[in-house]
Amino acid sequence: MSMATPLTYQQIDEEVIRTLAPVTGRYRIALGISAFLAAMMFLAWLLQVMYGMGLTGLNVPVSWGCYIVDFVFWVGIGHAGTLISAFLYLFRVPWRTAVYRVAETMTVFAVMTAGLFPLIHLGRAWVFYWTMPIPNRAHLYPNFKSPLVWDVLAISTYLTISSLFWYLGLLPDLAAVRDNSHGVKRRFYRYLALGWHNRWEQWRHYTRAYLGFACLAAPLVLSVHTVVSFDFSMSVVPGWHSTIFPPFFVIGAIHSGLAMVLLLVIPGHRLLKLQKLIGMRHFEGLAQLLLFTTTFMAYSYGMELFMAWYTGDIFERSQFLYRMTGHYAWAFWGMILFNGVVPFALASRRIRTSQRWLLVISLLILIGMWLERFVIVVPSLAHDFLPNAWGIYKPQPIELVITVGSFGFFFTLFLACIRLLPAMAMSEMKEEDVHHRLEAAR
Amino acid sequence: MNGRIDAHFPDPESFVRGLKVLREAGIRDFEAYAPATLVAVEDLLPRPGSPVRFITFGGAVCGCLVAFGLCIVTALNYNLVVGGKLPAQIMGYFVPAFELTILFGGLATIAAVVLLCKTNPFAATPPGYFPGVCNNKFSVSVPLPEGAPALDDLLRQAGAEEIRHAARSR
Repeated sequence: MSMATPLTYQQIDEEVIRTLAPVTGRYRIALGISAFLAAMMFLAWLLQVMYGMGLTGLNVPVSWGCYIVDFVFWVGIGHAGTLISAFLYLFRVPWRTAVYRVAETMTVFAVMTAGLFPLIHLGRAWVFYWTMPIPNRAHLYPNFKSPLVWDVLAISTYLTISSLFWYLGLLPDLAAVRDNSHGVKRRFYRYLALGWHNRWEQWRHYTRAYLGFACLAAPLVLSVHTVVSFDFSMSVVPGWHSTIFPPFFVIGAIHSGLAMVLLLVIPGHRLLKLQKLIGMRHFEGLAQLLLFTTTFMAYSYGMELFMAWYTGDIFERSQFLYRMTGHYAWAFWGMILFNGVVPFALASRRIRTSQRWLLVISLLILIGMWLERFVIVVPSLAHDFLPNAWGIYKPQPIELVITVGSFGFFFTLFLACIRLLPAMAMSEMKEEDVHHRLEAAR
Repeated sequence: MNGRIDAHFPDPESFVRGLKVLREAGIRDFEAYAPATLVAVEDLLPRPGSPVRFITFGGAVCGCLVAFGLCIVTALNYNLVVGGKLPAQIMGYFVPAFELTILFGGLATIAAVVLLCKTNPFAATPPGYFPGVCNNKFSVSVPLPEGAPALDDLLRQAGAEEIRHAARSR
């Protein structure tokens, strides 16, 4: 069990800047595999553009399939990063500082990955600009009363705010890396650092701006996936039209995002040799949050089933019976097991403080959350009101390649970033100590 | 003496003592450098506070107004009554308004940081800056007008580990 020990400011900088050193063989292999999967994704997308959406399994009645599942999945992954960087900053949670940079980086790239899927799902991706409110010959504008248009605004806002918040936090650390670099690298970090020199004239604006961003980003944690849930809950489809969807989606997003943070930080801190800065208290903090989200997920699953029975709505009852016993029952029970049962093992301190078990549980949660999105999207469309409108959806190879390839896309961006940019917030890790000592010395 | 004095401090405690020396000497115009934010001793530093929060608020209000304006104008452009309801339905526009409030607030904040912090990668290194302030050192850079009292001894007694004199840059 590794323990993070207090370090001097110099040691903090040395530990983090060392991770920007030339790459190792294992890193190259990981980056190579990720890049290969990403390339396969773009190749599959190209084939789909050339030969049409008929290559997919999308049809009547299931016109939303793997692409929408992937979109909701990846947007959800991003939420934990903003929770850690904004929410936990406002609540002054002490263990946040060491892991928030990785979490925020994960958010930015997860939302970028998510943003690909509406374009992929569009088919004719080149007409995406029709969603923008620019004057046109048809005098048609987007319907701003539609949840789908709200979704465009929500995701665009989330990507912009997350990216700016991430970059603002990077500025002092990029200046530190600049001052420890030479030659071309120094020039590269000099441009990225935008002339940051740790002057009081800069700190006084920076501190307020950072707090302002945290205050702006915190409501986004709740609102973005609420708006995504409106894509479903604002319809009348059985299984979708439920008031539990907004909190269900938000907590589910945080649930999957925390699992992804653990999946990145546990092997990452070993590979980058950051054991002195990241320790068990960070993993345990994340695991405790995960336990909380698990209780809400289990409650949500139970409540959905209970309300389907309690309302007496025959269509709602039929839908949930279909989910439990129909063609997609494997996904439903996998979701229940991996999201609502297995993570309760985190109630045991022995499990919570074991990196191996945390990795296994995080991986199962991610699989479970993907299955949950699948169970929400597909069975409801496959089995709605009228039996003559029922149908089956089978994901085709091209959809599976794009789904798996999206993980490659995400990991390619993430792996490239942690070697170019400081993986931990050096100035924030010093900030608490500086703040206490300045206050004491006044 | 007409120039600049740069004093480097090894820790926050000696840095605060140095700031108090400057305050007692009546010096209000100087630059301070630190590896982390100095809000805890803001009252000892020149020009405390920041207008960033007002700029953020202004941006957010603009975003809200732009969102409602965009939604209402585009709805009235194709002025078609559907479902017995008026084309512009305010309730449905609260979600875009919320999103654009956050978006414009964030963009205004980053613009404020870029402008007020004078972030310019091509600008020269500011006077008194040295790479240690990004790591573990604290520093003050004090312009000394003609006839200003000598501060070297006072700053050394406060705990400055190095003091440099330089001609004041323009």
